[in-house]
Amino acid sequence: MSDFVPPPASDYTLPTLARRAVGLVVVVVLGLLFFVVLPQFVSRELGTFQLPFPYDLAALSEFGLLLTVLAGLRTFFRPSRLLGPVGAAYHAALIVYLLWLAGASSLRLNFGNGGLSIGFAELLLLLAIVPAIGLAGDLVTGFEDLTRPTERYPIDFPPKPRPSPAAA
Amino acid sequence: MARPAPPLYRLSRALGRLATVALVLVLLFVAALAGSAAQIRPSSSGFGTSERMVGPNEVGIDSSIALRNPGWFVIHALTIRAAVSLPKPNLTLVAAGGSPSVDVPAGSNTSIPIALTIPLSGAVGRMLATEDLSLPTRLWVNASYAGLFPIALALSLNYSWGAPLEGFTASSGSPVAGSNGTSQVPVTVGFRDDASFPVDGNVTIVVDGPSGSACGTAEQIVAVSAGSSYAGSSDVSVLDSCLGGSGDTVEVSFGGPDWSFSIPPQALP
Repeated sequence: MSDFVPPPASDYTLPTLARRAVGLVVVVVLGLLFFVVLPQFVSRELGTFQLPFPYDLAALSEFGLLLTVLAGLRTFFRPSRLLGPVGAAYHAALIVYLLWLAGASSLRLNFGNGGLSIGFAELLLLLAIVPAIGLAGDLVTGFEDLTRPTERYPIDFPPKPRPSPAAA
Repeated sequence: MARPAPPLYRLSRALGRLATVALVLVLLFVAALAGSAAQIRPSSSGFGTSERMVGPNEVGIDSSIALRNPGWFVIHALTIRAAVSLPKPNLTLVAAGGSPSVDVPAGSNTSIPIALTIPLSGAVGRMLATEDLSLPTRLWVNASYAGLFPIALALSLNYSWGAPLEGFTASSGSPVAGSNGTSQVPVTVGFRDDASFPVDGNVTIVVDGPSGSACGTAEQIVAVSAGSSYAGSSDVSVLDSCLGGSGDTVEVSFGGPDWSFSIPPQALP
């Protein structure tokens, strides 16, 4: 660790605050569509087929909002030491979200002379592998940022090419 | 010259890529599951039932559901439970049974046997022996698709029960005076075998005096194939001294190798 020499500032170009804010807004909009609007749409569509939505829509929206904010902050804090912790918080929240969804994960379809129930808890648990791996990646990034600050910047934020003298 | 990526950075990036690959694999798996599950159908051989005597006063209903699973995933631990009850307003449970736990392998056409036993004894058995009924039947199917999706299906059906002694009647006429102090009591027995198994056995007719003692008996040998009717007449020879007039009765019973049935004594006209 002691032999680490931070790269010179000329080796990278951090995005401007405005650019980071734009990234945050884009991710928040996408997150709202995925975590808040999509469940409402699915709930309404299931309702048209007389299928009860197995979750509390208000709680789902609140959880979705939290995930959206964390995803946005993760994008915003990418060029900072907070990327690892915020990313880990996002992925941990996503794991909790999937486990929570798995707790009440069955769809029930009633028809004339009976009913059909399909559970999908195991599928959600399987899906939780994805944020678990992401969480591990974020922890590594957080550790890297803690012990070797700015080490990743030249790769994540390469310097802008300087105009060649000939062009000038 | 570009400097090589630091090890921690490479590890972090590798984990990020692994997460993406895992997500794609899970999504592909789900798509394959959905496509595969959509192909599951009851086989063209469908749902068949047969009835047979399986023990003393017990009818076994053997049925099977053939399931075609042409997809790529196994249907695990498929079990079927069935409960049959009498029609409203009685709704007494008549029989319960089901299938063993069966795995339906991928790309297979599997028949799932269902077995039920219906008793032909007691008051319920008497009703089932002599009346065609539409019996409310509840089916529960449980399985797990690909080990990931537990499925529970509940169905209400009606089972068409064909009675082996449908419309069983025994009618007796007035004693006809014979010779040597005897009389002949004419008794006619009739029924239709609406079950899917033959009715073989004997019909025993006993004419009782007022004290309940047997005055005379007769037997009819019965061999009726499924779906056929039976009508048989016998003249029961009785001693006039045994009969007492108003208290005389006739008892009719059926006895086969596996089951028996009797109707309450009837007064002689």
